[in-house]
Amino acid sequence: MVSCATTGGLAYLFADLNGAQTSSRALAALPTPLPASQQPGADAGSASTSAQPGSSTSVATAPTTAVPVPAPAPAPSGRPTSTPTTAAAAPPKTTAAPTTTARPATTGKAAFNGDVVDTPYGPVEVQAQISNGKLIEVAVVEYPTAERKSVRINASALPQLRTEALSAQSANVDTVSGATYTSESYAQSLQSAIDKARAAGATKIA
Amino acid sequence: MSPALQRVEHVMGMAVSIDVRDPLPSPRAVDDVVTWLHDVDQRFSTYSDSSEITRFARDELDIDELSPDVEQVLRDCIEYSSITNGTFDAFAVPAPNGTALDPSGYVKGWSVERAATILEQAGATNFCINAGGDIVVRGAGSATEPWRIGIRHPDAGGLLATVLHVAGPLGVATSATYERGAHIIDPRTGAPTTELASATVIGPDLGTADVFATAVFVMGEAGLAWIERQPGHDAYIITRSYTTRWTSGFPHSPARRRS
Repeated sequence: MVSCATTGGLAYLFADLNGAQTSSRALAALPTPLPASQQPGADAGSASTSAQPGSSTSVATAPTTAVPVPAPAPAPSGRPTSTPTTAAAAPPKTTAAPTTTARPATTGKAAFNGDVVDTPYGPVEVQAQISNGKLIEVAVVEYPTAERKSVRINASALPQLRTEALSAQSANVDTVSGATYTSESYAQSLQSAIDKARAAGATKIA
Repeated sequence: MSPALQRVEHVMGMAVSIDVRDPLPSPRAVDDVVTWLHDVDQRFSTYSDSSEITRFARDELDIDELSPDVEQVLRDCIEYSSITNGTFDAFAVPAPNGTALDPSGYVKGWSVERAATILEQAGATNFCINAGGDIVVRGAGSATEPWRIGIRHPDAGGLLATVLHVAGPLGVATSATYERGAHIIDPRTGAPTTELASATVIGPDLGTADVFATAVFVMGEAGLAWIERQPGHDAYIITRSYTTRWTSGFPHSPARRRS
């Protein structure tokens, strides 16, 4: 079994290994936007209110249709940033989610290991760390050891979607890319918070 | 010389954040950028009955009556339709003005790229313009750090899916349907796309990146293979099932295996 870790601390974490199922669960259990002190432009409900009804509906129904995707392969071109030290994994049809992580009431800091799930490319397990009821880190602790499949695209098939506001804070982002902000949605956006922080003289938002 | 500058302007129905990190030799350049964006809005708006685009689409203007910028944008759109195999087609999508001509998916990136040129010509070297989620960066965020650009999580504006670390010049465009409750229509079929939650494309020119982001969104996961064939461009997608994938050169920092 290959052990693994993330690099760069909390800023570069896998949030989940199981695509929609884990993501939606994590978000549903932990809809934690930036604390008000870190996100002056957004109210506490922005995490749930800013999603469009249509998109959240489709997202919510998506997990049942999730299917495994091909495993990544090393970059044929050898472009430096492409080196897929990230191992291959398919999103298993059964949940590889950290099923023990959805415990918002947990206080203190604790780590929870998810179930080990066999995927076509080997067993996969994720570990979640929870502090004071917030999911602060989810990392893949076991990667498949099976041979990587050859695919044309060197895209990682490891479904990773860092879901927590912690990412935004610890990443200290300068700006945020997303679909068009209307003037209305801008007011509740992370970009708005960044702009306000910079206008106030801060060099970073966190 | 003015100190570093931060300004937010609402234009083209969106918020434009201008973030200049070094002293500007001529601070009026930011006013020039804002004036330019309003001028673009006036000529290209598909919400206005009096814009050149609307009047042209309604046969109230001939092509030789168009301003050079408008004509060039339309010619560019024809070329992009060919390049993208019809997945971006400004001439086959429903526009708010009731016509089938909507170059907005290119105009935003194109105009912001031009805005970056205005700032550069005024002597700015390290700056970022975020026009409703589409971004141009030049230089770096500071003397010691690159620009850090978050990619929005589909669920909420306060969350990120990943973070890029990049130096300018670079354009970053994201096509998605989580805002405005809108669908993105596949021009080839007229039907809404359903595969992706968002598609982000980076490249040297924001106008092109803007078009390519739309194209990838329409293509779905197959768009990654297509982007790999577009020199200088990379892409990052989030599917509706929250799988994320990216092309080989996408400059973010996924977790790495310790061998």
